[in-house]
Amino acid sequence: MDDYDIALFKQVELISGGVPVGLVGELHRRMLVVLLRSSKDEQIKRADLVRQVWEYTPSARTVTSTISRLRSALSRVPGIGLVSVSGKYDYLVFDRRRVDVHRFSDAAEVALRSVQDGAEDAETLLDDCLEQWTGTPFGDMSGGKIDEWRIKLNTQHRDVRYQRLRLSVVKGREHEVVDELVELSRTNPGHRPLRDLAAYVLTSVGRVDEIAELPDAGPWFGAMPPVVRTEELLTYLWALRSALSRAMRWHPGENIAATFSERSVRADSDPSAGSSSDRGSHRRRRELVRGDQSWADAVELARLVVVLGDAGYGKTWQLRAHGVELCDRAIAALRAGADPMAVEIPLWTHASSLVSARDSSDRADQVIRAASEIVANSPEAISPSLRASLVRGMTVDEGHLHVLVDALDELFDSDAQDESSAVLSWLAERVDAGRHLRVVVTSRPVGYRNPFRTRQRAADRRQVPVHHLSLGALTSGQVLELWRNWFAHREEDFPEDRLLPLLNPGSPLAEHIRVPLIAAFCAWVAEVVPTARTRVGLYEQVLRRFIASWWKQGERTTISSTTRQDPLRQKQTRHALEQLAWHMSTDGATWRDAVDDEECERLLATKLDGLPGWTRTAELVTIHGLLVRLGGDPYSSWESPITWVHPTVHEYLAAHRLITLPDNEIDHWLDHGLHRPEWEATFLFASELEQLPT
Amino acid sequence: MTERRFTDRLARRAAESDDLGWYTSLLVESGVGTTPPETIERVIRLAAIGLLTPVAMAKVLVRIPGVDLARTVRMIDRLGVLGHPAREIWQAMALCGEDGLVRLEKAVADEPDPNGAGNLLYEAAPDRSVTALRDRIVRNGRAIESSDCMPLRHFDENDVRVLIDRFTSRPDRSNAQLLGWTGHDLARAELLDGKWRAHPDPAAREAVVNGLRALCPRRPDKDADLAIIGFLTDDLSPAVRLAARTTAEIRAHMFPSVQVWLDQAVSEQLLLEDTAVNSPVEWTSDVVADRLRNGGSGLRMALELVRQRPELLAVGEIKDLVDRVANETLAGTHGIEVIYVLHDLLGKPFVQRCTAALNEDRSGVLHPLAVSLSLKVPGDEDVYAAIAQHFARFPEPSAQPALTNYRLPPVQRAHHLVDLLESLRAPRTEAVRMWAGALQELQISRLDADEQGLRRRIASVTEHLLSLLPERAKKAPE
Repeated sequence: MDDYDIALFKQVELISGGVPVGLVGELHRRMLVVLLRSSKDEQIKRADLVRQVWEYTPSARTVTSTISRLRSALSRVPGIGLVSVSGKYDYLVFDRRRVDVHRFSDAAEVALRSVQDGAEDAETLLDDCLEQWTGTPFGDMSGGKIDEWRIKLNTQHRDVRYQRLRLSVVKGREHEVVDELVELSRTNPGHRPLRDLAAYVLTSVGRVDEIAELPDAGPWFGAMPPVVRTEELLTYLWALRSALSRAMRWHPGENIAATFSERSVRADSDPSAGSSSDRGSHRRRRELVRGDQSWADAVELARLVVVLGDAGYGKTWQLRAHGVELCDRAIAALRAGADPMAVEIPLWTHASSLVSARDSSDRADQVIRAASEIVANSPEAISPSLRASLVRGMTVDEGHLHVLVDALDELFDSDAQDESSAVLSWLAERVDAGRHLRVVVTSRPVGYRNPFRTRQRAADRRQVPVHHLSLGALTSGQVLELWRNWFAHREEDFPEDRLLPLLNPGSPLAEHIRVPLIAAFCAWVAEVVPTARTRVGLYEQVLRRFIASWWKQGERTTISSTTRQDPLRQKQTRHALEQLAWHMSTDGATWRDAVDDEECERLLATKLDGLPGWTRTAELVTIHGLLVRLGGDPYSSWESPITWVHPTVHEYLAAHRLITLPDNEIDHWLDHGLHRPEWEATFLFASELEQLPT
Repeated sequence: MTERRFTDRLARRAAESDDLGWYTSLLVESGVGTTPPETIERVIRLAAIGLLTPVAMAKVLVRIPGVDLARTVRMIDRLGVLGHPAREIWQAMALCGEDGLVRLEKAVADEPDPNGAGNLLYEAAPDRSVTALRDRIVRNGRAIESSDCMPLRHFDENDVRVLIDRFTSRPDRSNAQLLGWTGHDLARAELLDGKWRAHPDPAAREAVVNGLRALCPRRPDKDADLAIIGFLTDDLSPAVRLAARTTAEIRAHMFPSVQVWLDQAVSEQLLLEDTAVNSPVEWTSDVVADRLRNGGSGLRMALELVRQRPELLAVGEIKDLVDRVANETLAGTHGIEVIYVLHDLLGKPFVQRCTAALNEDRSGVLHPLAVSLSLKVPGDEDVYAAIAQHFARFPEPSAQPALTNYRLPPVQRAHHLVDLLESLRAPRTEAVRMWAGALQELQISRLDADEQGLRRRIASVTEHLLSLLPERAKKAPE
């Protein structure tokens, strides 16, 4: 009968048919252990076997006879056999499932993986595994491979116990496990996660004094609890979800979901690779990007992603929607009782926030600080202990963190770019080193440089690939869907006659409106008037709508309706914007996309009177929304540069100025603008403007 | 009407000192109304010489009120004869209404490779494209490449059964791909059928890998991708494993999920240890000589070893063998990796021989040599000139980056390209496209030094190029 069992816990014993099979002596036991250490059928060099079994150099005859006696003892057990190959190699034929320590090891692997994956039965699997542990492996036997194997088993045992205790703490059973935890920490003095968990639990059960008696396990993480509490995490996820869902002011609905539709992407190679210049890549013309796979498919398993898209392509929109999706998934999982360490936790930050947090104590702290900014309005969103857990998770690859970094291209000075590159490279190294961390970054392709370029390659592992995904323009179907949703949320009828003609193949706007922001402009304009059929016509309408719009004002001041409806003031505003646009296009060696506050204010002041309580810049950013502050939040990062709601608005206004210039100046700018995409767009606007009937 | 001073200045610039057609193309693109006849004529000439694309020309012509589209189609066809690539010709045709669509149908029926005509037809008239492709493939048994595969998604069950029969009786790459591109459930079941994994002919198994890739070109497909990875890990033939590996790696680059499946299935170690694909051997001097003599996959490693241990060159036989490999390289036998190592080994004399070989090449087999030199020997005007000449004679996609990114000061590169354009004494559309394209990629406006001088040269070379055209290409359509 083929039923045998090999016991290696406590003492080494071979049992066949319920009866112990006599092994001749200690040497045979050692030999059996060494052979069992190898995987099934794996050949061991005879010389290695000898070195592991004997503590001295035996004669060749001794070796041969010991091996042959073991072979003969084993031959009585069906299903197991010792094979020698030309007297140089030996191997054991056996069934791994019949060896108790192998059974334990396999169960430990399954259980620990189930913890990583957040499986519902993780606790049961850990318990089952622990039941298999029946004593010290190999009794008091010692020596090279045997000691090594014992250490491996002990480590597995400790990890299983640690995870079992940790899950108990997550479920709020600190009192039940505190003593075992302290004991385990004391017997494993070098194990930092254990020590931290023990310290945390001692704190929560009110035995703070005992923390000092715990082993000093390297740098102390202070109040960094190695567990995340479900409630704390849910609070954070709700706050993040609500911050990410906030729609732009001129959009209908409170939630970005109102006008968002799932995007397609195209996998590209790194646009900054192969470019010999250090300025990053450039493109000569704005071409519509056609996506060929869904966003969900593309990012499902990717761990390092750069999302590329021109202004108006909705990168932020997509990244926010992705963050909301992650929040929803995590919230649903937590409510179903999932281990917080096993759900994917989104962290959302703007690249400039990463840079502003540069004075943090370390990189992990820097990322978490930056990611806290978006929920800064609800101070309780990230509790100190959650925050500490996140820092810790990032440092030691615990939990499943998913870092979303928006607008890498909105860092202009090289110091900020270097700093963001340093922190992103650090993150990429963490991605390489761990199993769970993921990072998604957005940028415009113009001037893009791979932010992970300075990451160090670890000698013993391959680098996780960086996937560059270009965000595709909307399909005509998606444009139509966006428009229909837009009016559905406004609770108005969809004005077909105002919008549908724009989608006709012959329409000069047919391609252009597939850029999401332009599609949204069309809907916004169509709320009040029939949308123009030409590009310049549409831009004029958009501009007028922005200038005539007055968003909810701050508490500092209210502006009278007389001022708001004053046509002269609207005209002034228009001139001031034109002045700013022209200055940004021409007052430097190259076209500038952004200016600082001071310069912006100075230029606007030449044409526009200030309102009491407002700077002109703040008025255009906060009240009209035609200018936007880089960094996303118009209220918080006061010092960040100012740019246009879309670069084409800038180009349109510059074109207005261009057509009023004398011939020699037009010639000058025609020369200057050669092969420059921004100027090319401005020239096209200029020429179209001149063809408009008066 | 408003004043049109800007447009007038732009038109004047286009007529008097155009910059490789840039101002004209801008003028054309901005044209909402009618384009003046002199501009139309100029556009046709610019397209004929290779400074404007067929698409730009078509856009202008189709806007002319009452235009004869059949005649426009013939003009676009003529651009194809002059040397514009087929793909751009079909794109231009797609703008020409019914006449253009008829021409695309004819291309699908007649061309050895329709080069995208089928997909363009599909975008404009899906039903007609399916009929055209069905006639070509199912009825006439002819093949296509991936650039025309979109209509196949609409093949019906009968079509797919024909393709399955054809694939079963002749399981080659082309038949496998045709089957895969249909994306039909039957095709899928056939390609995923376990019998192909066990097929005795490695060429058939390799074909299946291609078919699986064709099944789902635009998104990850777990079944198909895992099947491809299965060939990579389990197939007994090195050629099949290599094909599967290449396919899986390309798909992994496109689709992050595939990367993860690939990583899970295949540790990097396994790839390195796949001896048949990577051929690790113990490198004695005999083995080095042997590999140098017999070529094959071990050649590059052998050369690499000689590079690391130059004393091997003292062994007479090895020296002679390396020279032989160098001669073979100059005849176009070896690829970029071998050329790199040879360059390190043999230095400047080798570069001079390469340059001479490029200048003398009349068969177009030296692309790898040109690309390697562009990367490996920066800052050399002779090398740059040789590469530019070579790619103008034998254009291909890798050429433009090679010319644009070559490490020679941009202004120098720009003057060099102008020299080449000036040297033309007869219209050569392909050469003009190549050189003018590289010149525009250099972003002439951003070259600060000697800008005005360069500008003047570019404006005058534009006129020089147009003057090379025979009279009949200058005529505008009636």
